[in-house]
Amino acid sequence: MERGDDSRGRWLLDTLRAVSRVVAEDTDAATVARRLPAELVGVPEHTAAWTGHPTRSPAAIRLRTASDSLPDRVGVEGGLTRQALDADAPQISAAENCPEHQQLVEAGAISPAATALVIPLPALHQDAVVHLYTDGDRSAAESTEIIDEIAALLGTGFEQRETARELTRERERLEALRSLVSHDFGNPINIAAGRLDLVRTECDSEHIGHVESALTQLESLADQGLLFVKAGRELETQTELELATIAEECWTVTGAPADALTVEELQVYAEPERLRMLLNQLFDNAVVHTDSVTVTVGPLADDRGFYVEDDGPGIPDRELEYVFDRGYTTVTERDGNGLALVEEIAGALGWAVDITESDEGTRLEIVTTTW
Amino acid sequence: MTGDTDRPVVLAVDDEKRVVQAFDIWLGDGYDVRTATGGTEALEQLDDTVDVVLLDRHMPDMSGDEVLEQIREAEYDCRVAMVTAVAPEFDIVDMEFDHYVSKPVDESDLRMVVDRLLDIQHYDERLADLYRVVQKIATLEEEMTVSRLDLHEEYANLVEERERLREETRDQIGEMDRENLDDVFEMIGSQ
Repeated sequence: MERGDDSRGRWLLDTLRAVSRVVAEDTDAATVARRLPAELVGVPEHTAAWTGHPTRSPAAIRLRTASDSLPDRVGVEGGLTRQALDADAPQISAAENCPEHQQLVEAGAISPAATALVIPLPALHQDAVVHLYTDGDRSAAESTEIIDEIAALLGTGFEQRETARELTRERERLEALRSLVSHDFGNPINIAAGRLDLVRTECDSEHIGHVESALTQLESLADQGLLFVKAGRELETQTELELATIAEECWTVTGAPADALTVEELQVYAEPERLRMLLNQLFDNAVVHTDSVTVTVGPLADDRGFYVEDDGPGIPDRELEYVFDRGYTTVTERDGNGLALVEEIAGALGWAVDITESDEGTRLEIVTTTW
Repeated sequence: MTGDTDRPVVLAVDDEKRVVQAFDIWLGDGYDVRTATGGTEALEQLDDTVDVVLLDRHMPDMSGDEVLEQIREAEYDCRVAMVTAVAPEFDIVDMEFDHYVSKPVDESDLRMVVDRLLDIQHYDERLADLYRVVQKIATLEEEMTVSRLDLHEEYANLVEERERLREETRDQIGEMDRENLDDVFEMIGSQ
């Protein structure tokens, strides 16, 4: 019995290693489908492995495998493949009771094995499975649990890989957008504004002013777009920062009197540029609504983060749920992206933003420990 | 090394061999491309025929910043673009480059930059100055937050210089060939 446990442990470890080597690679589903059998066959007791998914004819499955000795297709009617897919669970059986295995043996493609395992791979393709044939006796009940583990690892592994790829794509899209708003938008706007300037010297029309203000608006939208992209892009080095120092710096930009800002000493772990952006936006929002606003920055209880509070007109209760939407504004010459931008920056830092209802002023809580 | 006589000469400098090779492939069919994988080699390759230098900033033997200084000191008549993964800081304000390109860069970016730098050569010196200032402002604005920009006198000086140069070049632009004005507006921004 002890010997059996030992060999089972060895087998499990080898198999898990084989699976994780494939999962760790950043490749597409088709490559994984080819690499997985090759890695699995590297485990000593395994005799053959293949992946595939049913073709348009449900009776046959197309094999994706690195091995030349296996045929292109295997009939799956009445086989374990369908059972595994229908049950969405791994199937284990004596190899001689696995029709797909028997077909391949009869065709002379593989030598007979003891046990057949069929594991669904939904993360790869909705109908994908891997067939694994082994000399070891893995049909015993205690193996089931282990095989479930392998199936789970395959599932989460592929899902994580997909998520990572998704993120990479997202970043590439963002990079394309950045280039679009920072260069491509600017050029035609510059041309239009420059040409308009020349029109003005040549003729007089009431329309010129309107075109000009539309262009100015377009320019400011492009700037906002750039801010959004900047807000969300990948983080650089984060470090322990003195919130007070940076807050005071950012406050000077608003042009409001220095004594209208009160900051308590507080350390924040963040990327400096992004923290500045965040405070710039928050302060800008605070001062735009009233001339003589005072702002307080201080720590939240339990080191949860910090708050930025002003004594301005505040946000009406019924509007609280909209304030983070892009385009929400109560000041007509503003674009209404301020708080949406705050949320975007906070999100990039892994922070959360809460707005608290208040009769006097607005209080925004920046929660920096979200775990 | 210089085959065709009429083709513009571009000198690509980067300590990563693969980078200069890529630049050579991208630009090779329209330009006479020379390559160097270090600052010293770059200065050796440099002569009066070079029109545009694409210059990496971080290089082991001599930094791109140093190469740039030497190019300007020797008064070569060429345009220099820094092509670099180094994020621009305020130190770029005093550097005499014509363009700042952040890596990674692709073929169309690179061609656009080189073409523009070649175009500038035909313009009046003040327009070239304006282009340089507009470029610097755009580079800083893309990298930095409002508060950091507003705190720096260098930035304010750049903006002031831009306005001065715009004023100075205004009449000149009005007299330029109107067909080609779009390129000018693209390069120097609207007045």
